[in-house]
Amino acid sequence: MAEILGTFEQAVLLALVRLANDAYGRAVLKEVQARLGREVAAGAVYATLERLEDKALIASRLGPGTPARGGRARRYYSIAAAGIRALNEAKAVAEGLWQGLTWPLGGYQ
Amino acid sequence: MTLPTSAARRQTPPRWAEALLRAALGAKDQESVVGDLAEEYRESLLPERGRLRADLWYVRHVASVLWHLGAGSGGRLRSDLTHGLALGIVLSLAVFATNILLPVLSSRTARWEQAMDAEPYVTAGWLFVALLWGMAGFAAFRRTAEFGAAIRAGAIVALASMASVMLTFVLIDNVFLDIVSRQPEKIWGLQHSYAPNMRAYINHTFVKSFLLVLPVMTVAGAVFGALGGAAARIRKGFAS
Repeated sequence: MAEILGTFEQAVLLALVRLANDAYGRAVLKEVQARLGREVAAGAVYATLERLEDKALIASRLGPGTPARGGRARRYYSIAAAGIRALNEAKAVAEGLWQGLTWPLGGYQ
Repeated sequence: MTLPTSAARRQTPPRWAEALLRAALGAKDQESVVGDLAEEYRESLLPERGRLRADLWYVRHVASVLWHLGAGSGGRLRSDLTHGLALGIVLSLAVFATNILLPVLSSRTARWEQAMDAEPYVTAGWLFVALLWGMAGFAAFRRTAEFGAAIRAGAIVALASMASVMLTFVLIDNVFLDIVSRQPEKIWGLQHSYAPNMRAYINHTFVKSFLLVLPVMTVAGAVFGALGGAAARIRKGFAS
């Protein structure tokens, strides 16, 4: 079994799935923030994207810039087949852990 | 070349922070990351939060990017700082042992301390430290294949290690003032200064060291980092 993804890695990969062709750094940052419901450090997102790319779970390519960015290129990310497999595996593991329990848990407060 | 208008200037993130970001990132990340933060600054933050809060957001996120990705892709600022601090801790322990422990343990260990102050030992110690700065450059070049990353790694490791050693000196010289006051070079220094007492002399010396010695050491670290990078490049050439 491959290495299980961390929560933040899952959040970033799922953001790429949701954003599809619009998944560049800033959009991923905003999507992750919206899903996690808190402010996220840009550095953490870029470091995670780099790590996922090193593991060949995602790929990236440069796209054209816009005037708001001073013409600087956007780096677009896309999820690779290995990334999809890793997400499916992470979901299966989480479901296995919860099997037989009712969510939300009660009676332990 | 035309100067930007005041309206255009208001749309721009703090230039010093953007320059810092550009300088610290590797070629792969530079354009896209700087562009992403500039886009967020102009399109969301400035209209929604105003200039001051937008600037604060920008600086905070530049700091987070430097922390995670600084010194080039794969040559992280955090990793270089950690190596520098680890070296600083080892050197600080050596400073504590030679300046405080050895002089007070026994007359024999006190003689060891005096012997270790001899020129060849001090030179060997500095060469060893410089070798470690060079190794930081060597490792950074191997990770990134960029000379800039090697130079930055050497400089950061030198800065962090020397800053922690100096802080150790400040701490032990102030806490163990009675012991360090017996050191001949300190007595000589106090006699040839305008300081009213040993504590004032020591702390004045440290302030000068931080302002003068630390930048010189950082530059020296950059030079040894570059040499380490050159060694890595030569080794790579031989291997291929």
